[in-house]
Amino acid sequence: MIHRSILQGKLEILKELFNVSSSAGAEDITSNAPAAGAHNRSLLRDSKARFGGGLIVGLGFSALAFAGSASAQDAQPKRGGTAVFVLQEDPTYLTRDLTTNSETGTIGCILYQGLMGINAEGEAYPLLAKSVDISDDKLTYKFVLNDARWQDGKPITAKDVKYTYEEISGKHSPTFKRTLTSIDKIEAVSDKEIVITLKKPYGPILIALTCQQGAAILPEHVYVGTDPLTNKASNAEPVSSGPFILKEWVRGSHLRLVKNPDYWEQGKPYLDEIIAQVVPSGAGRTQALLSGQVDRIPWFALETSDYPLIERNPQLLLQPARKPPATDFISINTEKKPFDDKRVRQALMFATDREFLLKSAFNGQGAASTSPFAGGFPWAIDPEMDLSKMYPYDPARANALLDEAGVTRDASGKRLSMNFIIEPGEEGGSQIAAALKNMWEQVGIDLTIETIQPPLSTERIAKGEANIAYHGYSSGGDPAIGWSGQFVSTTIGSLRGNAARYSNPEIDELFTLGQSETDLDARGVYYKKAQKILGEDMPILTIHDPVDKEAQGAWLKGMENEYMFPTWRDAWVDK
Amino acid sequence: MAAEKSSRLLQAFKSRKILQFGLALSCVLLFAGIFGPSLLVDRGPNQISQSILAPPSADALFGTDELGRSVLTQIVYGVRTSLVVGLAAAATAMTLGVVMGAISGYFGGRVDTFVSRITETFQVMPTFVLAALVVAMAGTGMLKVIFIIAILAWPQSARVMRAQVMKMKSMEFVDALRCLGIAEHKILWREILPNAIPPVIPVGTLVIGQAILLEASLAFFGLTSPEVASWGRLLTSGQQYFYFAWWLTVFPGLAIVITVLTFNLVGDALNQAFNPRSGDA
Amino acid sequence: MRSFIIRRLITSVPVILAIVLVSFVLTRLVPGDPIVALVGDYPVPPEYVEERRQAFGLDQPIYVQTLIYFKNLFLGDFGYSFVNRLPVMDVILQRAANTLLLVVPSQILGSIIAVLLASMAIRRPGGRLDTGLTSLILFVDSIPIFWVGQVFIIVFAVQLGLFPVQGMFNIRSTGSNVILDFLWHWALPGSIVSTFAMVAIARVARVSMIEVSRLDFITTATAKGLNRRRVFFRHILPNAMVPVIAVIGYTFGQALTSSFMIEAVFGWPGIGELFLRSVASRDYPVLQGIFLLTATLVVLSNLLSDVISSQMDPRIEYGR
Repeated sequence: MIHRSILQGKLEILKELFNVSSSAGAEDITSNAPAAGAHNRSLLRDSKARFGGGLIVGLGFSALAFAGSASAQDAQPKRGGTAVFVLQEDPTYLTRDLTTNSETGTIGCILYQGLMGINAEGEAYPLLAKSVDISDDKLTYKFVLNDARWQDGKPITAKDVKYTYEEISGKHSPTFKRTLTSIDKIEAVSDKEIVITLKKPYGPILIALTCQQGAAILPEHVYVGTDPLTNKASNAEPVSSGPFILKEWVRGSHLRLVKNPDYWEQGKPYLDEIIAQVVPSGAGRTQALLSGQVDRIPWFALETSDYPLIERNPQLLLQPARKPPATDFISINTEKKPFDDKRVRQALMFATDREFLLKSAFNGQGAASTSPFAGGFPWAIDPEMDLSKMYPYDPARANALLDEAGVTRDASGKRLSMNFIIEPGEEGGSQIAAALKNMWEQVGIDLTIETIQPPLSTERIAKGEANIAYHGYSSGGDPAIGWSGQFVSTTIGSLRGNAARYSNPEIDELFTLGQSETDLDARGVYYKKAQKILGEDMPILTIHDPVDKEAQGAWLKGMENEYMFPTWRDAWVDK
Repeated sequence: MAAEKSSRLLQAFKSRKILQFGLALSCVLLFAGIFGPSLLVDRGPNQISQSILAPPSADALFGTDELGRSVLTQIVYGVRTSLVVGLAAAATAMTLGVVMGAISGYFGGRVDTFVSRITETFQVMPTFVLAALVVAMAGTGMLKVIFIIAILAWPQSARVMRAQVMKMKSMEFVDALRCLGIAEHKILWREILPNAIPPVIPVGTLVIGQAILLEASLAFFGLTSPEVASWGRLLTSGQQYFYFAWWLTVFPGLAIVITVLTFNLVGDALNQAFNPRSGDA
Repeated sequence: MRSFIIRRLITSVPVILAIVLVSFVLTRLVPGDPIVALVGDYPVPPEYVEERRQAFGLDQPIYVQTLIYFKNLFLGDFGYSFVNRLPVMDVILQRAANTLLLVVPSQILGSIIAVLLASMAIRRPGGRLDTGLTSLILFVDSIPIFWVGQVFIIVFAVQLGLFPVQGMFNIRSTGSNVILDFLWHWALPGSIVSTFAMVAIARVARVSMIEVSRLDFITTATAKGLNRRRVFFRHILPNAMVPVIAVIGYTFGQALTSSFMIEAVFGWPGIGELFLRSVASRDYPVLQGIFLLTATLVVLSNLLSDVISSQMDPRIEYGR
């Protein structure tokens, strides 16, 4: 999970670039968009006129959409009460600006807010910023801040923003570091006005300024002159400004967040407190929800094996988490013999029973991928292509291909031995390893399973020391980054990059073309072409399209407009 | 008095029965460990199948796990691991204990104080915590596990050995040998040792059980290599399926209990035979 | 009396030193650079690595390193856990209370039941009750405690729904419910740890009571026709209590280990659960801290029980 979120950032960023323009044809969004607070509506109306180009249209449409469904909401939010959700372990830090750890994101994005927020559709809206003014050349972004205060009473100023971006996020957030490279300068024009000037137009900039992307604003006066990694505010006593503030943190047990009495959004939040309870075992988390002790299990803390238990209970809701699509795949080191021969790689695919893996290691959740790209982006997937038809589970064909490629069996029937790196935290990893060891034995391949912790595992894979490795990558919202990193030659050797060390100029070219266009259909043409080649070349074996689900009690309302890490501003308990 | 005598006789008789029973059971276990795997029709403990998480049935007596692997097969392969770890660790621990105990008891004085201090120190070490720490730091592997268990268990036999040797060295026949001018180390190794060892055997037998338990605990905490079949690891995977598959937990655990109980019965019975007064391990 | 305590304290010193030495040797077990053992496998800032390298004198000869290691530990420098973003001792101490909540009541309950059972059993050694107790001891000795936890969860929590599957408390409960709720969560793990503690103590309690009852003066008292019950409460029990008290202290380490394992199974937020997670993340500083703390606790509880039993027993000579 960890590396998914690392990628998240980089990927998320491009998402905006393409998705926003696509949402110009936003009728779907209008009908589906969930409720949002009234503040968004008015704020965006105010600033709408000043937005320029396709970007505005996208944001504008979704804003109207929120307005529509907000009125459709039947019940009036009830005030007061406590909501409890579970975490797998304590967060490492309390601000998303320092790490991509999911627990940190969950807590950090309640405590601290970015200039922008992100809605259920994955689109940015002004949050801590009251308005955004974009110059016609899309180089200058002027933000006016809301009248918000830190919990110690000091106002949030443009200087906080500048300091956070330059000294904290820009130095520590794996995601925001990349954002900063496209920024030319950050100027605090006045107490409440900040101007960001870009080196060249960068569509995803607004998404990049959300808490989810490691750009939550932190108090300069608390951090100045300290190391953010060891500052108490980062890991014990935050000075924050969000709807809830940290009251108590008993490590290994729970974090208690109480309503921020000075929260800047009028009338919010509705709840008096939210508690994040740390429950290390999956069975324990599920039981806590089943027995009503907790109200919600976030997607990263819910075991797929427990989905049926929750589905069975009419009081509970199980729904796909709103987050960028992801993929689970096995990379084959194409530089090592005999895997430089594509017939050998194809043979491995024939020797892999992906339906069985889906049924066993993934408890039947999600789907076996049909193309070298995982699902999630219908416009980029060739509907004609189906890996399950191209490479049905067929050990006989695998054996034939291996014979043909000259990888022969020795006296004991063994063709080759190789290592297979898995990470202990990766869901289904050890099951996949055990199953593959068994399946590939039949075609004479002997796997040595190495369970290695990140970051050591990541490094070894990047250095090409794994023959075979199992990964989960996030798309970050667009194939241009998420999927391209697996295949283009420029990411060979980089962490969580092209683990197959696959290098094909034609593929590089197609991916470059794919991200230079903005029209999805036009982009789709290149990606579909790339899939044809990759389906033949098989540098990776796409195993599984995961569907991460989150679970909550039906009584918990107002979570419909949250994305990835809820802010809980609109949440209330109907009990 | 008469009543007590008869009850003790009864006890001795009982313990002989228990001993026979325990020995018979350990033979069965040894047999299962050596020949069990080859008697199974399956291809091995890792053989996956389409019947995933199937409850116990005629096809899979103890059910199957999340990859459709037979729990029974995995348990049978696990016998080997448990026995190898248990026997090897106990043998090593006993050898170490006998040597250290003999030296300490025979030479006495400073040597004794030193060895006693070491045994004392090892006795306060929280065994499981230390073993887990060693394996976590040095890496998994059966040899390491055997070694660490032996290192932690030897003081038990050293203590018994020391007491035995101390008792014997003051016996008349030893003095007689000494008068004959026989070298000290010869007296120790040739005369005292063979006579002092029997009471140590039950302690060693009990170590077998402890070692098997410790190996299972380490595996349960994820401190085992995935290549080795281990009952403890089966229990770890059971932990995830409390709601769906009780058989993943129940059968491997029973296997551990039966095996350890077998060796403990033997050890206890031997103890009563060799050290009738102690009544305690 | 005082001199006995001092003497006993002094004999504890080499044991503690030996524990620290073992802990130092452990840092050498990690393959490769020993600095890994001092900072853990988790990514840490390079400056911190350098700082630690200096602080532990890793460029110095091994005997100097040993001395530095001792010095650092005695100055209270157990390192920093980058997994938890806290100094190692803070991480561990935050969990310690929860472990004690599980282990201390269990040890107390276990000792009471152990003494009761043993005293009833030895009235007729070899009788039904005695055989039952010795069989129970043998049997419990053969069971992995974590498995008992799992079976209890499956039977009493999942199948029968009588107790919670996991955890120590319901975060929602308030007021007097808090205690009830805690007891409800404690029931399964607590009864298991108590049983294992009981068995460890009963084993010694039984033997020492039998031994005491065979002592001359007891035999005389019985022969004189004194009431059996009187003999038991006046003579056997007080005399047998001395070794029993000692064993309660001596088995505390065992009880801690039992508790660690049960915590891992029940998701009880104590040191054992921390240990499990630190093993998974190879957080060596925390693991070593837990080892040092546990071993020291065992030494201290041995010390304490020796002192208490020495006060109870006139036969133990102070000073010598």
